[in-house]
Amino acid sequence: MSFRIMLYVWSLILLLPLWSHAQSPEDLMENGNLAYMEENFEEALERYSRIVRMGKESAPLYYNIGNAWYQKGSIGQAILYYERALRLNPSYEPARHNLRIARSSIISPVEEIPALFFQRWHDSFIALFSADRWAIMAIAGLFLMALCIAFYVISRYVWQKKLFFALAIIMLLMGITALYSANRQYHLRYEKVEVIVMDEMLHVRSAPAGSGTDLFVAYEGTKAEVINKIDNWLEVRFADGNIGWVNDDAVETI
Amino acid sequence: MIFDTAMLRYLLFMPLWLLLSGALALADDPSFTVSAPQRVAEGERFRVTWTLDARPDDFQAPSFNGFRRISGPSTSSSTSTQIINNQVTTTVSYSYTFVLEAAEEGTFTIPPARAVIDGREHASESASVEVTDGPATSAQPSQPRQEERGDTRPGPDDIFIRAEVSNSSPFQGEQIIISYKLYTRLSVQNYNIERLPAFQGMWTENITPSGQPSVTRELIGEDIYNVAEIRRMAVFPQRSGEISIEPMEVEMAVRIRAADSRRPGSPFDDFFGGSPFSRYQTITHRERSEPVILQVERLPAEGRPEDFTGLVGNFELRADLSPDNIDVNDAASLSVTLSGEGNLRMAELPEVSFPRHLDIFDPQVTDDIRVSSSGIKGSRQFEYVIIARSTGDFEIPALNLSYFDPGSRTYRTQEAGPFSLRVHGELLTGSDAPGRRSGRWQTEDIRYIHTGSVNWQSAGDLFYKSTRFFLLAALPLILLIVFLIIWKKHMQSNADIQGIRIKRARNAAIKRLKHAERMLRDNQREAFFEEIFKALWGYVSDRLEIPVSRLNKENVASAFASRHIPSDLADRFLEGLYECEYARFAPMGEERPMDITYEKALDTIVTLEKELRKNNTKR
Repeated sequence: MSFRIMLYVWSLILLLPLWSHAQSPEDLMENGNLAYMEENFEEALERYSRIVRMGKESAPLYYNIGNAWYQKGSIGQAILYYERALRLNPSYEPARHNLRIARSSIISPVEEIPALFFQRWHDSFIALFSADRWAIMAIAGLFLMALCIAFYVISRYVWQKKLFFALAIIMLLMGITALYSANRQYHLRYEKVEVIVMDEMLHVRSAPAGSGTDLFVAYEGTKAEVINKIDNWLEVRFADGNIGWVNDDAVETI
Repeated sequence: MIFDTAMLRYLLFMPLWLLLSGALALADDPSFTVSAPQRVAEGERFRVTWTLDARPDDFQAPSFNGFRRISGPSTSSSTSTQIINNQVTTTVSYSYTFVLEAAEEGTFTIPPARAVIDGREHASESASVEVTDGPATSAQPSQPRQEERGDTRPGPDDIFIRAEVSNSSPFQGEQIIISYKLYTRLSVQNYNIERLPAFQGMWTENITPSGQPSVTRELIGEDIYNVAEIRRMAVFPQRSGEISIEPMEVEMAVRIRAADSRRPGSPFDDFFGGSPFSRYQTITHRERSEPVILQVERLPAEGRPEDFTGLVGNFELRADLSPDNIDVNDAASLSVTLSGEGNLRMAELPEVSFPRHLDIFDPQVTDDIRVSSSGIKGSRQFEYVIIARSTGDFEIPALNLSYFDPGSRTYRTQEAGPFSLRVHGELLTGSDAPGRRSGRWQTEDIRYIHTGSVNWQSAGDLFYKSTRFFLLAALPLILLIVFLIIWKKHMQSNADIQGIRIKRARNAAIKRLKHAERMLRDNQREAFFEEIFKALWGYVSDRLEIPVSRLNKENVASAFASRHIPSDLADRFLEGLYECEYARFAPMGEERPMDITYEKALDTIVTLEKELRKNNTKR
C-alpha cells in the first residue's frame, strides 16, 4: 500500500515539470512580456520561442521576438522576425516601423531599385491585408453579388432592376480584386522564399561551392530572394539585382 | 693626471647639457640652476655653470672662496621651440660659465649667484664641491693601475658596470628601477651596448635620458671614478618568485697609454690630453654587469577587491561630468582620469554602467604618461561622449578603481561619482533630429512590444486555398442557383393563380350578366340593378385583386390609374356603378331604361377586359 502511494508521489514529481511546461501561449506571451519589461531579453526570448515551438504563431509574437533581438543587439535576427511578423500581417504598422529602424543599422545596406509609382501603389494595396483577410473579403463579395442578383430577379420595377444589376457588377469586381490580392499575398508569403543574411559579413560566391569566386559582400540583416537551390547552396537575388550563391548556414529563411 | 681627456670631453659637453636641460624645464618661475662637479682632485680645473631660462637683466657671480678663477664668465644663450599637442612652447636659456681650479683640499661651498629677471631678484642654489687629494699624490691604490701594471688590458678595477636596483624584493606589478652604471678610471671614448639583458617575465620601459649620459664622480675606496649611467629601466615584474635578469654586455673603446711609452710627463700635459709625444692606443674592451636577482612577492590574496585588474602603485581616480544639465539630443561628456605612479599603461577603464536611453560612444583615451628618471608616472584619461535620447533624470553610478599600494601593502579603492544627469526639452524625431554619427546610433528608437491580446493561429494554418475557402466561395453561387429555381417555380404557380382568377372573374361577370338579362325580361327592376352592380363590383375585385373589404371608388380609381387604363373607361365604369346605385335607391316613377344600363355594363366589362389584357402583355 505504502509502495503504491510512493509510486503516485514519484510519478507526480516526475510529471510536474512536464505539466508546468504545458503552459498556454497566452501565459508564455505574458511571461515573456514581463521578462522584456524587466529588460531580461534572454529570458523573454526563451519564453517567446517556446510558443513558436508549440506550433503557434502570430504577428505580435514575432514582433516581440524581433524587439528582444534588437535590444540584444542582433540586428539580423531582429530583421528576420519583423519580416516574419509582416508576412503574417502585412499591415502591422509597428513591425513596419521597427523594421525600418533596424534596417537603418545595417552596414552599407543594399540599395533597392525604386519601383514605378503604380507598382508601389499596387504593392502597398496588396499589402493592406493578409491572404486570409483578402480571401474572406472575396467570399463576402461573392455573397453580396449573389444577393444583388437575387434582388434583381425579385424586383418589379425597372429602376430597381437597374440598381441591383449595377451593384451585382460592382460586387463581382470587388470579389475578383480581393481574390487576386489574396493570390498575390499567398505567393509572397508561401511561394516566394526570402532569406535574411545572418553572418556579419557574407561573401557571395559565383558558384554553389566554397571554391567559387567571391562576387561581393552582403552584411548582416540584408534581405534576398531565393531563386534556386542546389544541396545546401542557395542562389539568391538581392534587392539591388545582384545574384550569387550563398551557403544556407549563413542565412535564415523568413 | 688620469682623468685628462675624458674629463675634458665631458667638460666640453657640459654646457650643451645644461642648455638642453634648461630648455626642457617648464616653469612659470624662471629656473636658475647651478651645476658644478661634486668631487674634484686638488689642482684640477673644472667648470661651474649657472643656467637661467630667461634673459637676466643683471648677473652677479659669487666669490669663489677656496678656488682660483681661471676664466669666465663666458656667456651663451639658446632658444628652442617645441610643439606638443599643437601648443608651441618657446624656451630660452642663458648660461654663465666659469673655469675654476681647486686650490686646496677640503669641502668648499660656492655661494648662490644672483640675477635680476624682469625686475625681480633671483638667487640660485649654492653648490658644494669636495676637493680630494690629488690622484697623483694619492695613497696606495687597492689595485695597480693599468699604467702601473704596465699591461695593455684594463684591469677589473679600472672599468666595471654596476646594476643598481631600487627595490630587489618588489611586489608583482610594482614599478622598480634598474640603473646600469659604468664606472671607469680610464678614458672611455665611446661605448655600445652589445647585448641588452633579457627581461623575462616582466614588462619594461626604457627611461634612459636621451643623448649623452651625464657624468658624475664617485669616490670608491681611495679612487675617484667617473660614473656614467648608460641605461635606466623601469621594470614591472609580471610573475612572482625569483627572477634573474641576465647581465648586460657593453663594448667600449678605451684609450690607454701604451705600455712602453711611460715617461714622466708634466701634469699639464696630462690634463690637456697628454703631451703630443706620449703614445696612446685605443683598444676595444668588453665588460659585462653582474646578474640581478629579484625576489618578487605575490600580491596578497586577502582583501583583494573583485574589480582589481592588476594595478600596482599609487593612483588617483577623478571623474567629471560636464555639463550635467542638457537638452535632449545634446551631448555631455564624462571624463574619467586615472593618474599616479605605476603601471599606468596597463590600466583598464573602470566599468561604467550607463543608464539606458543614453547613447554612449566608445571612450576616447588620452595618455599623458611621462617617463622620467624616477619612473613612469602620469595620467590616462577616458572621455565618454553621452547623447541623451530621452528626457528625464539619469543616474550614472559611481566608478571604482582598485589598486595595490606596495607602500602600505594593502589594496585600496578609489571612488568617483555618482553623477546625475538631467535631460530636458522636447524629443525631436525624424528629420528634425540630429543625424546619426555612426551606424549604431539612432535618433529614433524601436516601438515597444505588443502587450495586448493576440489571435493565435497554428503555423501553416491558412484559410485561403483551404477546403473551407473553396466551399465558402462556392456557397453563394449554389445559393443563387437554388434561389433562381425556387423563384421560377413560384412565378409559374403565381401565373397559374392569376389565370384562374381572371377566368373566374370573367365567368362570374358573365353569369351575373346572364342573370341580370333574365331579370330584365321578368322586369324585376330592383334585382336587375343589384345584379348589374354586383357584376361590375365582383369583376373589378377579382380582376384587379382588390379585396372586397377595401372595395371603394377611390381604391378602384387608383387601381385603374396604376394599370394605365384610360380615364374615360374608368369614368364609364364609375358612372355605371353610380347609375345602378341610383336606380336601386331612387324613388319610384323615375324609371331608367334597364336595357340601356345592361348594354352599357356589358360594354364596360368587355372593354375593360380588353384593356387589361393589352396591358398584361405589355408588362
